[in-house]
Amino acid sequence: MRILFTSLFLAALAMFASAIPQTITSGTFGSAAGLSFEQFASARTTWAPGAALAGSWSPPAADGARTLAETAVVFGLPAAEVRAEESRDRLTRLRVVFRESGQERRTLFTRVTQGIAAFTGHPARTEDKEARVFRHEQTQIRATPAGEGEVVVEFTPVP
Amino acid sequence: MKCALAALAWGVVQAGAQEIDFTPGVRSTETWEAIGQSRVWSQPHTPGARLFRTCLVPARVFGRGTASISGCFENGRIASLTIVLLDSGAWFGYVPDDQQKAVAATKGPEFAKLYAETVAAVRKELEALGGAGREVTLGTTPWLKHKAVIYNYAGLGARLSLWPDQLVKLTLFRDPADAPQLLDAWRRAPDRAAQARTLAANLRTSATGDRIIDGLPVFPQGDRAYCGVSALAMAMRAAGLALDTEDFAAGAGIRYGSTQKSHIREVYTAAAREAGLGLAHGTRFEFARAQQSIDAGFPVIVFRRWDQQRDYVHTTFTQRYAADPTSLLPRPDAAEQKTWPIREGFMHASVINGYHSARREVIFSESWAEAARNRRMRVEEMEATCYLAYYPRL
Repeated sequence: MRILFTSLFLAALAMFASAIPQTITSGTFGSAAGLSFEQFASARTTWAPGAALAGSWSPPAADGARTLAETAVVFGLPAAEVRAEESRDRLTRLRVVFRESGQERRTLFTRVTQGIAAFTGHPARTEDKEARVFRHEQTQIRATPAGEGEVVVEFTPVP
Repeated sequence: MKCALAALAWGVVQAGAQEIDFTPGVRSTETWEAIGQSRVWSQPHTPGARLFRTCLVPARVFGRGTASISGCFENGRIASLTIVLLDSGAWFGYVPDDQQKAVAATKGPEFAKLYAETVAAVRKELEALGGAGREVTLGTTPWLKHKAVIYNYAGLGARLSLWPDQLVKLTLFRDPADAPQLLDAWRRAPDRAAQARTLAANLRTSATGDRIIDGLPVFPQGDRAYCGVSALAMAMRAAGLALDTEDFAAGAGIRYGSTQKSHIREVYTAAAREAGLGLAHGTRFEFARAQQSIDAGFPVIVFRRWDQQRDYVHTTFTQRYAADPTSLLPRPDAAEQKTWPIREGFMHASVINGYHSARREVIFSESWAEAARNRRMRVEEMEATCYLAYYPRL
């Protein structure tokens, strides 16, 4: 028993080796303004007519959407892709894609929705196999599993 | 009058520069009142007669940039100032283990040269103030025994800690008797029962039922692989051992920015011995045992699996709880438990400085910043993600 405990203890100590630095949590989006992406996406002013998009975005693609040109951590997870859709005078939708490979992909949807629930402070308003829909202030947040290892989260203003 | 002039000089330096010159504070305590009242310090999110604050702006001493400055404040007055003049971890930054060798080969000689230059320059300045100084050996354990030079001048005591090719650190004490001692005065007194009472007096039951240790220092690890040694420093300073993160890093041999082949386990044991404490440990987090330690005024150190998403959940919940103490972390179901970093994920050290038994929550602080103080996690998650826990006792 003592040998087993000692082995476990030494194995645990070997894990000291990969300590994390303090700066690991930061994405670049909003780092200067101290504003997370989800805070930006939930702000009423973000959806106001004529409001400028915070951060660095690509020029509009053929479908008119812009792609975020910097890294973003959204609900505590690194986003694989962020797109902004606009009408003539305002932002209409923010679409965040999360991708995961390996074993982590199995829990991706749960982790994304945990993060949204932590942010909004309440569970999903509606919940089915297709999607979970949350509401935060004047923004609707819809999370959808989009295939193996991929989850899409869409922010839209509440009508 | 002299004091007022000194304060004025300090204020001018503050107002006119983005970088603060601490040299007047090294020369004498006359400027300490002004320094203590300035806005350069972190504001601990905890009550307590004895608080540790970190200087939040870049600072210089003797014309040299510093790695960090922190102050121990007793009843609002500076009791000691710790000035890290050169630290291997800060200079090299975070280096992944597989790059340590290459970094050592390319940048190691440059750092060694800088270390020698810094020691010579700082000793020269201190000798001009306090004579040749007195060389002493601090500590008794092989891992933490190190050389220091003690100077006495202008009514203060100065300790220049020298860890070859690792660390040059200057600590200034309002009471010169503290300079050659590793234990704080209250821990040097022989009455162990009185020490126990002092520690237990830091424990508070909040209006919401939290049992929490007040005054825990939060020492930011910065971009350094120092979470384990910073957590140790936070717990040990609370217990009256006057050694810092950088001392423990140097003792553990965290070299060239990497924890590769370091001796953190040995340094934990050595720190407890230097502090005259017991330090029980186990490969599981035991909530009942942690409650006993905390009730006695001792924070518990846990090494655990960490991931960014769980960190987000804990951070966000802590902010929500501050605004609404009726908020609850959801009772973990099977789906949630599968998202905890149990086998995968980074290794990280945290300090548990409180709990709420009815809510089944531990209250923990990170070696990052004041904003990372008093976070909350369900006991079940700590039990599942912790792989090593240390429980200090007197």
